[in-house]
Amino acid sequence: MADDRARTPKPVAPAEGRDARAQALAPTEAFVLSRVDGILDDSELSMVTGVADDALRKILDKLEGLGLITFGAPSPAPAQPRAPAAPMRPLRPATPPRINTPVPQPAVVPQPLATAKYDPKLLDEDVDLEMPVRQRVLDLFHRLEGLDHYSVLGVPQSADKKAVKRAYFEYAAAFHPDKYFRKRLGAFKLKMETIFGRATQAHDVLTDKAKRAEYDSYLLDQQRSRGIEDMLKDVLSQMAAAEEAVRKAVPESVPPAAFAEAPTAPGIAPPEKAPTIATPVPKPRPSVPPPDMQARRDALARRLTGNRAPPARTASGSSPAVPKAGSAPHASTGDAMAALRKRYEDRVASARGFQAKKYSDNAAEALAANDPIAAANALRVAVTMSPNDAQLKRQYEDAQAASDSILAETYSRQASYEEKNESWADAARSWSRVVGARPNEAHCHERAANAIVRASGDLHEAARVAQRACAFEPANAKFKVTLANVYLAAGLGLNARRELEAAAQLSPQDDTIQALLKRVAKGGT
Amino acid sequence: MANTMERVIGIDLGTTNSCVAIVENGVPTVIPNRGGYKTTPSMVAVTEAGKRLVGHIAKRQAITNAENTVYAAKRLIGRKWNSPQVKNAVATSSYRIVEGPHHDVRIQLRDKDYSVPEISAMVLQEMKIIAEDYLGESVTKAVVTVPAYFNDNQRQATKDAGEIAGLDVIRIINEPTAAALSYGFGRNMEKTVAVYDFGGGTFDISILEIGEHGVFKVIATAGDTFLGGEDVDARIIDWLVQGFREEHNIDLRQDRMALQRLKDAAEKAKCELSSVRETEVNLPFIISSGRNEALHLQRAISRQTLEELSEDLIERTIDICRQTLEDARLEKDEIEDVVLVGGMTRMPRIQQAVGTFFEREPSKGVHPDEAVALGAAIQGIALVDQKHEMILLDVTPHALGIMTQGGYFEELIPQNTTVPTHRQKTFTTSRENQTAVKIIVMQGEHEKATENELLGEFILQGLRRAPKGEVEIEVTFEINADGIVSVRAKDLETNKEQSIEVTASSGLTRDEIAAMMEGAKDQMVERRTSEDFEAAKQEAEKLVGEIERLFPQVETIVASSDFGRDAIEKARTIVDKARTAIGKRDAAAVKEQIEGLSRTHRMFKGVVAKTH
Repeated sequence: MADDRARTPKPVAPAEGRDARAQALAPTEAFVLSRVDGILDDSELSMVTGVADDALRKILDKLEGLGLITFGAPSPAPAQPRAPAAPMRPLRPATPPRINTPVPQPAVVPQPLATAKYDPKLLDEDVDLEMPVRQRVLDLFHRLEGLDHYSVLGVPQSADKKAVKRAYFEYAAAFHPDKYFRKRLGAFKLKMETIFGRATQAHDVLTDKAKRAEYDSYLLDQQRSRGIEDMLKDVLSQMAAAEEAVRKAVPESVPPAAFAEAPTAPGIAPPEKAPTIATPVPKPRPSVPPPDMQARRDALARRLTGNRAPPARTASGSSPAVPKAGSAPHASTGDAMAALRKRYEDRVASARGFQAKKYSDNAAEALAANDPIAAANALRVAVTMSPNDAQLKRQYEDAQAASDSILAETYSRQASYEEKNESWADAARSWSRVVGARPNEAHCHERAANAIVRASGDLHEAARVAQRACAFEPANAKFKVTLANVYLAAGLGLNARRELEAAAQLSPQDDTIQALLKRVAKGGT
Repeated sequence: MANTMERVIGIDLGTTNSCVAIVENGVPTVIPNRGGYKTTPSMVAVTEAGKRLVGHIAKRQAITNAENTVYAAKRLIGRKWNSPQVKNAVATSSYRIVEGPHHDVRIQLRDKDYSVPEISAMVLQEMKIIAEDYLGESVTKAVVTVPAYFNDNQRQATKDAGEIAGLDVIRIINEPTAAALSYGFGRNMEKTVAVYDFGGGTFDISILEIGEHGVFKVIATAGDTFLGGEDVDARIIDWLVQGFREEHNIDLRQDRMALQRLKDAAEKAKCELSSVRETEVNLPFIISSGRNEALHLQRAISRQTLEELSEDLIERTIDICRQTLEDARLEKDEIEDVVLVGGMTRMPRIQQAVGTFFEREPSKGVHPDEAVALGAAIQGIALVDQKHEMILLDVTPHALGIMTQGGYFEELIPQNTTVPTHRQKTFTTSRENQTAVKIIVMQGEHEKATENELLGEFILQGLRRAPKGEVEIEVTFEINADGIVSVRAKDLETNKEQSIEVTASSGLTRDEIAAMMEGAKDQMVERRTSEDFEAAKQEAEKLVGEIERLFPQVETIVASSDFGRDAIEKARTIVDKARTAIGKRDAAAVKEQIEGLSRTHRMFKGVVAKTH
């Protein structure tokens, strides 16, 4: 297979010693950054991330501008056999995760391919297969679990029936065991059959209108919940951005003497549109201050704090990075310093207030746009900027509740689909999320317990959620049966019996309960 | 290229006619038999002198030897004695069908019982010989076709037949699929097609997608293994018999010879009515009346009469088409072409009915009698030669599952699932302290297990004594690309596992099949070689037998001398050479060894005689 990288042999490498956390990156940018490994070039990154070529190039330019990555010289072909999987990789349009407009979009599934996930020794098996075929089989086989139906076939979510079929046929031609009829395939045979089976499953779902619609809405939910999670993570970078804006607004670099001459802050951040989640706009990125600036800033801090180490700048800290009052070392300059400090603090407070206002405005905007998650995020930033504002806090709590409820709805839809397809591990995960967002609702607790047991998951957790479900609805026999099943799975026969007896009292006609009771009575354990 | 690659022939083992094909230099070709015909009747007979006849010659003597001439054996293959289809065949066939030792079916020809696979093997052997005569080299590999709706027992029995005939059946494929292969081969198209296959004994409908990279994917398939041209013939026979009874008050069915003549006449009339509007059935001296006077059957039959007689049969095929289209979740307008296969599709009424149903003129793209064999040959070459880009994705025509408590059928692999595939389900014990479970593997669509076909069974033992419903058993079904079903049961508590490869019961045990293979091998040699070789072989074998018998005695007598040991060594070499020559069916080489053999034999006899 020809090496595609010959086209633009410009591998991208992560810059040494740069901490991306100090930067406020949009999730897509952070995701792209996380894929940069010094081996992939930009076009490959585009394939890996699913971000379209030109959008990706913009992101890379920005990351380079931030000093987070470097474009390296073409590296020699990696010794590690990499998956020559280019045709299988879906090319996805760059679309930022939108939350409240349910337009079907490609699910952003990170597909690490840079390093083989399999033991290279597996390639050495003595079989009648050419090396690229072995690589392709092993690579696919070991990634199969994490792929959705679209990425298994390597088609975009917009692919029509014909395109799906074409992709599947390509697959069949490559992986059907008949291709290597009566050849020695060893352990590869089963793997190829598995891959083929998985591709068939994807084909069968995607070419059936009803099944595909159902699957798409599942993917959409999955993507929504992922988007929400990403956004929740993104709140940290927003906070950092707000802090940075505060810092910019307060020209701490100006020596105290200059305060008098320049009373107005020179650079209050322009009221640029704060990043709402739905459309991540490049955030103001005051890049790392140049060294001399930093030195001057440190000097100021030393003077203010009496030669102590500069206060740690915390990205998310709600306490302003301001020295404590009353620590002035030099009595002679004490008053002046106090005044200076007061003025400084006032500035900080006002800048923080400004940021709080800005973010709460953004929140209002997001709410108006029916995006409670973005609103909750923005309000959370606002609350950290202005921790004493009770009204803001209430707003935040409301928005948070609304966003929780969306999350819960999304996850419970997802969970139902997973239950239906008997993907119990996935269902257990999804129901647990619902439980997190709906801590007071019995149904999701019971479903979570059930899914965990079916998935042979953590039985302690299963017991905990099942017990909660029963506590919420003590008269529900079904919940007691679920709890009993958890106990049975854990080998706690007596506990199971207790629950079943209680259930039998509530619902004496139920045959399942009677059967279970009999089983417990005889089993003894 | 052709020389390095082993030949694979494609055989369409039909109910009434069979056909053999091969891909030569990339071109699929039907191989004509010695008579120049491209199809050979699937008929087998044993003459009064005990001679075995296959094909046209069997058909020609069928009237005079009706009781010992087998036709439509395919309708019986892989079936159990007590099935309604067999009961029906017993009542209507002119040859004797009896019960075999495993509730299977045997056919009695001149006091000897033959299993159905043995009969089919004779036809397959004939096809093999036709191919070998044409190619001038021996052929061992074959792809054999079966009706899509055949169950695993029927497929296995067909495979057994191949084995008995000395063929390595590298794949069994479905007839309509094979027809689609020959329709789409080398045409590089993207199309969804329906193949309507109405043959002598079976009806099949398959819907396929043909795509890039030579991929043929079956979407759905269905059919009726007891619906074919034979049934139409039977309608005509009924009509003739009925008319004769009204006229003469004689039931022609009571006379096997008359019945055979009726059968031939009915088939002939049916075929003629595809091109003419009216024909005459003329059977002079069909039977003698009670007063010893000969009666003749002479009756005109019109195309319209035939259509009326067979209307419900045609309607049944259309119903199956409708159902299959539904199973495929396709609309009629999504079918881009309709391919007609099988002799019955020559009937204008059928062409019309199919055209009306699918709302399009059926394609005339393939030859209705040859397409299936050609497709089998195409699949054969694609399997053994990677250069041919063609992949067939077929489906399981029937659901697979196991029998559960209460006699219910629990499906694991649904109908129309693309193979290879595997599915899993967890089951549990149904009785208290049950320490073993019997996994009964079945095939079919009925929720009552007894209505489905039994494929095999095995027992998973050593379960923990526990209340019912407590021990969990995970059952896994797997169908690999060769269509072999394997079933695995695992005790989830102990991870103890039991599995079987379901080599569906064709009604024969392995030993029996092996014995029949041996028998057929002899048959084979007898059929393929000249009398010249046969005589040489018999003589050589007789001598070898004698020498072998004397070996131990001679060895003890002469072992003491160097000369003796040398002589024994030489004798061994001669015997081995003779055996090799016999194995190669090389008449000249066998004759060459005969002299040495008789010398050795004389010497051995002399040594033994001297010492006594």
